[in-house]
Amino acid sequence: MDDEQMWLIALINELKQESRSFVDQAFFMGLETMVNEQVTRLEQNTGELDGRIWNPKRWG
Amino acid sequence: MKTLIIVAHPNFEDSATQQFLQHNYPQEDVTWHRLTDQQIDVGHEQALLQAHTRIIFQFPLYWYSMPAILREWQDLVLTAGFAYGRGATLGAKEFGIVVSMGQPVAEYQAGGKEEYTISELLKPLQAMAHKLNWQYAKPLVISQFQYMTVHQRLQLVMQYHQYLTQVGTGFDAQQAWYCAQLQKRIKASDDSEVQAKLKLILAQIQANTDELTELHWTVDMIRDAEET
Repeated sequence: MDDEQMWLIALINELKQESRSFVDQAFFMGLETMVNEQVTRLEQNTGELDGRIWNPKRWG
Repeated sequence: MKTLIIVAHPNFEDSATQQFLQHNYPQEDVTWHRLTDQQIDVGHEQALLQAHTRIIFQFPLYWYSMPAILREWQDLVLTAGFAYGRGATLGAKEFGIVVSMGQPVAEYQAGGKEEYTISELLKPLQAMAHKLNWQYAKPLVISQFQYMTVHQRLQLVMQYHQYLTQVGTGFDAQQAWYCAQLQKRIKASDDSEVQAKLKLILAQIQANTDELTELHWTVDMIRDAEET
């Protein structure tokens, strides 16, 4: 996870800890889960892109 | 979009699940409508259906079916000429089911204690939706609420909110829903520091969403080129 995403998660966590209601807490917890899924998908898709760009079949 | 939750529980006050959902449902654009012992006012019920786009049946599974009051409501409210048949005035709806049960959901399958799946048991409601031209959504199943941890209950609240108000399904729809919720929170907040933080979060999430869309597009393009 890069710095930008770690900073984003930290910011969401700050708001989660400051939450006064159960719904607010649930919202920021769900938001964090969604961002973690974004990060996973960004990493997977970047990996797939790299793999396809460096496909040896396309060399020569 | 407006959502109508039709709640049917004969012992509502004693149900921890229903009390929990009532305390935590999203108030905006959602109507909580509990069926009680009082006589069903057909005109009022039909007007409620007309005024909402997404209809939710919320009930505990009793003898593999819905409570009697909801069954009675169907007979009285979903009449020919109103809900279906010639001259029907009620248009297409989105339809969801929030169903709770005391047994573990894993027992509802072939070979499990309950033998039959939730999908099989809810077939009459699926048939109803089909008849009425209502779009049937995957049910939200709440199993053994009493044993849920705080963490699981927090997760349930967000699942419930999304089930009631999210447009579409899948991860793209979920991202859009969270962005819309953040925008609402930015508008509603009177704390400038919180507002600033929410704006930063929204901007980064939108940047992530755009990057994901672009990556998908590029990968798809290369994949297509490789296959042709």
